[in-house]
Amino acid sequence: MPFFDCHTYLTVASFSSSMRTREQVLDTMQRFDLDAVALISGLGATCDFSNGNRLLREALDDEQGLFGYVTLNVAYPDESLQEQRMYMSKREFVGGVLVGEPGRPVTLVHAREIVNAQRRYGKPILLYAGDTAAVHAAREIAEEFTQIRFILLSMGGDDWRAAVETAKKCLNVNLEMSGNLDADKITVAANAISARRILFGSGLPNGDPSLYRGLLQDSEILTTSDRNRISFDNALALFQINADVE
Amino acid sequence: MNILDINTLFGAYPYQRAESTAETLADVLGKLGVGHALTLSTWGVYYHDMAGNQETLRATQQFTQQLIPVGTVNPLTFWDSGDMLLQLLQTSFSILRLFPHEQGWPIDFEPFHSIVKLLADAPKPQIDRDPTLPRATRGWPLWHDRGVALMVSIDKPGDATVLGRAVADYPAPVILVGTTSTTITEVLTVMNRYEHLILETHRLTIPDGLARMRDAVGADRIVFGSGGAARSTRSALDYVLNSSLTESEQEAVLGGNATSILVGGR
Repeated sequence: MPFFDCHTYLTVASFSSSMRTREQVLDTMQRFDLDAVALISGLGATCDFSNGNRLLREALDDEQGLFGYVTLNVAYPDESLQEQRMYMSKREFVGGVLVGEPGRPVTLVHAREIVNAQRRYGKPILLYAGDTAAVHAAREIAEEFTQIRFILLSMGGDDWRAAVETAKKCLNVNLEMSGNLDADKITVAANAISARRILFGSGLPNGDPSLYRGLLQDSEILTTSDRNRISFDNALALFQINADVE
Repeated sequence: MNILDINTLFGAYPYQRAESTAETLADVLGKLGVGHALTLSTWGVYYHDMAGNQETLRATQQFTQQLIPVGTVNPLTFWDSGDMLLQLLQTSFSILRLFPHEQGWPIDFEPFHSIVKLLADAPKPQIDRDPTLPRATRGWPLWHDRGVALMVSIDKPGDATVLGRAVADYPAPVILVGTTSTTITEVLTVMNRYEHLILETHRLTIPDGLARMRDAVGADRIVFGSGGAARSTRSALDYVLNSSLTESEQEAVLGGNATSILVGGR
């Protein structure tokens, strides 16, 4: 079964140097049997989004399955629009990821201008949704911009049921499956919104893809086709990537 | 007057837009007559400590006459990097700064205690010291003769008390960064107990608060910091210059005390 890990980082990390450079990312992909990854810049997400995007671009290579997200910081609306113009049309960038003050969810009032501008690129936006508050904030954004696809990273964390409810009501919301490891998570989500809107992701280098591979295997209601969709096909479709990545 | 700003940062912030590149910082310092600044990259605060240290060294190399690099370490991710930290401090940095509030770790935190112990026990490098700062800036690093000085952010009531206990036996000066009108009484109480604690000024707003602090702990235990380039260097500088400290006390606060900490002799 092919795997496209939609939630990974190009970053320096404690206890791991596995995702710091392009070469290390490729080695890590091989080690975990990943066919493609979409990377967030760790530097961009935590501190310096502009330099993060620049360094990330240097590491991407769509022919080797290395895709990325443009980091957009709601504290810098003008500069974020500029980053969108600079990178979003490039095929190795498959979407944007919205960040703001660490530890606080990005809210509609702060994100509106950037999200509005994203409409012209036709690419999805990732929202950190690791807890209940972040899911509710993400839902407000998704409800206002129904023509944009959103990916809720970590699908609500321990409150993944709230993320599933949000995706059920907002048809433009997809769920990335890293985070909580409850055995019934994928089954409940697939029953509620179908396997077509669930994406495989791990959070590498802080999350081990094996954990989420196991979670996927655990879900007995999924057909082989469903599993393929979650592990790979949904990402190709959402990111509009040609299947030759595989 | 040889002014040394002990508290500056350069680089992007994740939550606010600020003109705070190393170039901006150097420019602001030059315009205001601030001769030197201790500084580090925001990468080291918000992204990764060692990546930030590299960025600090890279950026300050362009402004060696003005910017003095400060090292940092994040106890949240501190595991087997003790040797690397010591090597960095002995070859590149003169002072180590820690950010508990910004990084979300408590001061009563075993990894932080481990770092303090590591540094307290570290062999002191044999360095030919010169008590003048310009010479010192050419010859970094210069540890204090009792070890590397520390700068630690405090934010809320209780922080200074816990920090005082954590560094009670630390051999070199420890600078408390971020004292406010809310925490000043606690900070002075703790400073009265531990003589190697130093107070930094950038969040002080009490009218003529510096005179009160001088009376409580002595002007030689106060050092000027601005929080620039994101915060106003001018307002922080004016707070000292417009205080009722004597001229010699102002000189000490604005640079003399910090120089002593950096090159030893305190």
